[in-house]
Amino acid sequence: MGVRPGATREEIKEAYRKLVRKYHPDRFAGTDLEEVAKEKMQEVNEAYEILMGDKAGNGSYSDDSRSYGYSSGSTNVFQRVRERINAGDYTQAEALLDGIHDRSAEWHYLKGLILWRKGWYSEASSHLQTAVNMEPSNIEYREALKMFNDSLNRYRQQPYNYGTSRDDSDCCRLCTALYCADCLCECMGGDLISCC
Amino acid sequence: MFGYVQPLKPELKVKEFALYRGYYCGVCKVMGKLYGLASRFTVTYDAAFLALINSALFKDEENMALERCVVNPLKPKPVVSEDPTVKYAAAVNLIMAYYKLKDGWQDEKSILSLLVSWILSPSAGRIMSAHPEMCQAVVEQLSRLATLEAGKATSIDEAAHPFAKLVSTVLPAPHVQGKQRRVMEWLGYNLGKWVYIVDAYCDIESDIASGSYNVLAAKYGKDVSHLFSSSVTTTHINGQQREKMDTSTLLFDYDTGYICKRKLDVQEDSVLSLDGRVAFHQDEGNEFGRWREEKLHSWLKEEIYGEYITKGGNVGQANDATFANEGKMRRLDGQGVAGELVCRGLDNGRNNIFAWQDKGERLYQKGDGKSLATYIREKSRGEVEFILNACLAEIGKAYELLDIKKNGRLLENIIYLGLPYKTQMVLNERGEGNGSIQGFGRKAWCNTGGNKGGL
Repeated sequence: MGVRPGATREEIKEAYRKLVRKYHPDRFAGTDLEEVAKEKMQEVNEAYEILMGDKAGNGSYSDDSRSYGYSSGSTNVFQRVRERINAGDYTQAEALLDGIHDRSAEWHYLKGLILWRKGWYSEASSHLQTAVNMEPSNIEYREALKMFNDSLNRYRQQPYNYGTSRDDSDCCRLCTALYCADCLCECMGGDLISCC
Repeated sequence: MFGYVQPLKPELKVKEFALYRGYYCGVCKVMGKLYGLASRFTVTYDAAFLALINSALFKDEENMALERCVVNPLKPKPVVSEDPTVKYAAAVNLIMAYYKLKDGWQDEKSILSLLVSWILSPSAGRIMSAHPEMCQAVVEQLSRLATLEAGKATSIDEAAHPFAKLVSTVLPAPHVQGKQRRVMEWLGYNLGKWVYIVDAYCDIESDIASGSYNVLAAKYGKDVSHLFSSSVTTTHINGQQREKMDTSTLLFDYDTGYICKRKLDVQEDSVLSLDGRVAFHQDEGNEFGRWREEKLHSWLKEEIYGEYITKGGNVGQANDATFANEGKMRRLDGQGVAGELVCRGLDNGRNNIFAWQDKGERLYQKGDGKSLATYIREKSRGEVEFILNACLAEIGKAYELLDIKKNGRLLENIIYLGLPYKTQMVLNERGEGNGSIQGFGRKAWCNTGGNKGGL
């Protein structure tokens, strides 16, 4: 856990929290890394439980692994595909899925998940998007799309921000500038933006 | 690979740069020692990265020694020597170079490629017996790649898959096992994909010029109808406004989706309309004409000649004829009455293989060839940027899971700065070393999109 021998409980807790943040499987969702992260998380949990002694499991991260099995109204084939995905057998799942000619929202959703796993990001994105477009009310599909987009954007939160976000920051800068200008005007008794 | 995986030098500490060079020189020296002098010319930066990341998974320090080099015989430089990961990287580098040269000989018939691959072949044979699984995987993925290219795949993900798989098998050295191997494979997959797409995006111009397959050109090069608008002049015939083209202008073929060059021997009277139809305006007695159609993309390698004879066409009236590829034309006259144009293929052998520059005849003016590439770039940029960023995100995540301590700063530089920087450079089409060295110094971290390849 990267703590010195004889560290206090607070220090261990702090180190543990850091590691949970680092290895949280949600950060690695969708790909093979998720499993590795889960295993790492398991190790961290074990170490934490040993270090914290009798208060084992207190506040430790629990693995609420996502499962793709609970969709009501899915036909037998989709159920089988989901079972294969849960078992980690993505090749078989894709083969099963490719055999289906009825391209429903669920088909696109499952295809998107498999392609994501495979690293075919562009195609995964369009399939997940199609699934959401076909059934906008389905929370499962929307969550998956959100997770997909989040997972690919996470890179930009690295300490070394490489500045691709320049486009959005211009917009923010404009808002900040307007806000400042409004405040300054109000100080002087005037008002630039009347609504605030 | 292609030398895209590099650190961002201005952000390196001097000691980190020395270390990086030590690995690079180490690979080069090992290649010279094991595979002969010629092989040293094939060393790439990617091989240095390969050695570096594999060595970082080892706990023990690398063995640095000061050694002289032919390039700079006077001043000894630090070199990583006697390191198994460096040897592995050298083997991978040679195998990759060997297959690339063989490919170069088969595709472009470059004599130099044949010669060098012939020189390297005994070394490649030795590596094949030392790392049989790795070489087998390389051959398998390369043949898959060749199949995809022959089939003109238009999905970027699909086209990049074999090369990505290839990198994912060669990236982890044999000693890397278990969890780390899985993570390295995922890192390799994304790195390979990134390299493939960056390379495709860089090479659009040269691939179009040489007629080689390029997934971006195959996907986005289809809708190029606007390109010939500049070469079309408008004329009025029988009161109708029509666009006229000279005998050697370009036409967008809606049947195949490629630009064609159509030559019409009935010079003054042949009129082309922009919707892909060809109209003939014939003077009295001039019922016979010839048409010639050439596909600009040499991967189609087609040149079709035909002859048309109007049957019952109203002489002196503009008739529209729709081209079909197989030498048949349907004619629709102004009133919508369908007549028939019978075409005879004149060149059945189709021996004339037509590329963009055929026997010194440059079809495109310089600007036109560029504008096609620019057009494809603009169209594909969104998707390319999306995939590249996705790959970078996954590479970053995989790197985190590797928990690398040794040489961490240098590797972080490559992964979090070097790769994104290269991505930006490629996407924004800025050549390395152009412009001033902005951002070097204090505020460099917030300005990595800037130009500082000069260092």
